[in-house]
Amino acid sequence: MPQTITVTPDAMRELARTVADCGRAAGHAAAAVRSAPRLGSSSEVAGALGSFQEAVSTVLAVVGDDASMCAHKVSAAADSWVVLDRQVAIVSGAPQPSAS
Amino acid sequence: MTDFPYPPDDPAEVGAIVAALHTAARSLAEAARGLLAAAARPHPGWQSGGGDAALAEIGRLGALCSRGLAVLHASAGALGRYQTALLTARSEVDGLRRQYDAALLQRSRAVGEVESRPGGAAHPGMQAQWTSAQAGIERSRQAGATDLATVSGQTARVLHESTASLAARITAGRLDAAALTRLLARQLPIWGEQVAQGQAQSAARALDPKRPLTPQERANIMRTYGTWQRDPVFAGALLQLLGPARFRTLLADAVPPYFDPIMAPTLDGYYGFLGTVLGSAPLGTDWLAGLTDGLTETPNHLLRIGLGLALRHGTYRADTIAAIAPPLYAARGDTGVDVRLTFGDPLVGVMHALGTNPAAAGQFLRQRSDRLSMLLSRVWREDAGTALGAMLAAAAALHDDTGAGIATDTVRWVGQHPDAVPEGFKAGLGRLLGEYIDDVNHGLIDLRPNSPTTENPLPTLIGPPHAQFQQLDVARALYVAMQSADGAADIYAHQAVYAAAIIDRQLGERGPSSTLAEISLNYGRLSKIHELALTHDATVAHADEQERLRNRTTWVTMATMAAGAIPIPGLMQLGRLGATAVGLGKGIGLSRISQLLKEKYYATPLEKDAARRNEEAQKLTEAEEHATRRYVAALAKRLGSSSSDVDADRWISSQSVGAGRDNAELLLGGAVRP
Repeated sequence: MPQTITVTPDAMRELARTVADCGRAAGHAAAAVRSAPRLGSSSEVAGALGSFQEAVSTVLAVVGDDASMCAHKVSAAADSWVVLDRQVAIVSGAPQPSAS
Repeated sequence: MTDFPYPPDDPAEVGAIVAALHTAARSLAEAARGLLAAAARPHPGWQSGGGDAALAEIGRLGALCSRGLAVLHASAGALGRYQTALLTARSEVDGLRRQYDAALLQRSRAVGEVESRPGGAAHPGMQAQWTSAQAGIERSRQAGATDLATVSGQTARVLHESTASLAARITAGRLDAAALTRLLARQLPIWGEQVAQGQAQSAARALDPKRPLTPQERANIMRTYGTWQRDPVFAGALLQLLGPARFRTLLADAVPPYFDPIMAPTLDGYYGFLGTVLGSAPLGTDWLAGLTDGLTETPNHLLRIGLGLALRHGTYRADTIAAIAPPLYAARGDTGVDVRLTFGDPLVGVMHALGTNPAAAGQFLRQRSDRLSMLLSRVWREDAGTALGAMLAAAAALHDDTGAGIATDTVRWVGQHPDAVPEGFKAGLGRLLGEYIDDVNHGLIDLRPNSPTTENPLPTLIGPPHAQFQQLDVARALYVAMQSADGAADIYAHQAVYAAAIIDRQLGERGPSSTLAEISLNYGRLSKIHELALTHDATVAHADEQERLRNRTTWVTMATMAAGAIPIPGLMQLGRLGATAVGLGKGIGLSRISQLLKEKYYATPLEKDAARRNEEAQKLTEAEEHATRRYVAALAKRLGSSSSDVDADRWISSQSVGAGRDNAELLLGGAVRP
């Protein structure tokens, strides 16, 4: 059954904004964790905390970078009025290409 | 037991960590909510599974954030409990201190009472009471320490588990960013190949030459795909979809009949996209054969120019440039849109493209032995040999047999034709000479059979293969290269590190050193050659003020730099600074030397408009110093040497440097134009 085409550039841009917000939030979170103090004493908590902060800030930084890249690509797709998949076309205000 | 220390961790610090984790958690929670909501929103219109897959990945990104959130909450909770335990422990310690003070006071009073009683006998219970008080305090202290250790152990365990829960998802071993990136790439594949291919399909449709669009309109479309142009999947798919015939049409169609600066942004955008895509795409033999079919034929004039314009952008694969360079080289008589105009020379593009792949450049030059000399003697009207210089420097920097051969042949050619070297080529020549700084130093020493020096006293710092430079050729090449500020900067920077490395090796020796004597001779030769090169530059009519200023500031920076590496007393002689400077003697401060050099080479000749020029010079000096430091750091790393200059000046005489300067003047006597 043929499906209708309703994905619009505006929807794509909104998606891009959401993903970009995620990237920024993850970046802020990574910065907050990274800038938190480190315990300088020799307690076992100090050792465990050091590894924890390093791991969390690394994970969040990577998530942030990845989300930013995703947002960039979605945004580029929206700008060029194409959607994520070659089989998805645009209806809103653009000539409809033939579905391949 | 008179000391009751607090536990080592500070509750305030732990509190700050908890606060930071809560801040991070709030930020992440917001992101997770947005992502999960976007993923859950109904999108009934996707035509295929691609859109749904993309949304699913956004959902997974949200789930990753939620997982991070859980980890942050668990750890913040554990650390919060640890903070409370630390505060409790501190207050217990305060209580113990008070108890101890009270017990001590009680004991002192009891002792006082005994002493005041006539014939006083000790109260029988006094010692027992004191001992009991002490034991009670010690028990409380140990109980407090045990409680704290329990909470501390629990906190550490939660933190370890949180770390492990992150790390366990990546590798069994240690956590690293690359492993995380790979993990995310596996979890979020939709953003990779499929999207790139989808974009390529759209781009191929939009750019189809059959659509009646102007170059400006096509450039606008290309700009919307700018994000993708370096992606090999996108580039490869786009070129396959277009096919070589339509790509040729796109290349030839936008070549203007003449060059107008107003078109430059459009041309840069248009050919920048085509060139970047051509460089990034993995292309098969058939496609490349289709692109270059009949390329040398006269009717393909516009195609050659368009291809040359595209080749000025992007980074090229060996197969691609190996297929394109020979036919464009064969048609080298076709120098641009019009024989009278300096625009669109295809060989400039070929030089750029070869420069991005030094191995391919080496192979191109090796294929036919006459190519190098032809390129060197060609008239480069459009860019004055800039791209050629950059390409030769890049190929020589490979330091293989081909690279050393290119350096040898280039220096020999320049030595024989010092007046024919185009302006733009000089900076690249400086880079090439810097790369072979050992051989430059060896070449500067006269090693012919009847010369005073019969064996080379300078050690080789960089391994073989080496370039072979004749003394006169290399002196002339240095003279030509140092007419360019960039060329001089490169040479001085490499020389400074080379000399510093040699000095390092010599520091353990005692007594006169022929190595250091030769180094100081060469240092004198180099500084004199630079001085003569600047004199030449000042006589060049078209050198504008900016360029002259650059050269002056370069000289100051480089001389200072070199002085830092070789603090020789002979430095006084370098600039012929006069009796006052010589009188300052050994151990003169660098800033003072710099000041003297500035006065001689910068301040006096440019005293007018001093403020404006000082500001300009400061900017240039900073930029050049930064560049120099980078070069120095790179070469120092390669040489594996630190530039210790302690005591180096003991073995280098001012006479050697002066002799080197005199020798350079003699060497270049015939080559320098008045």
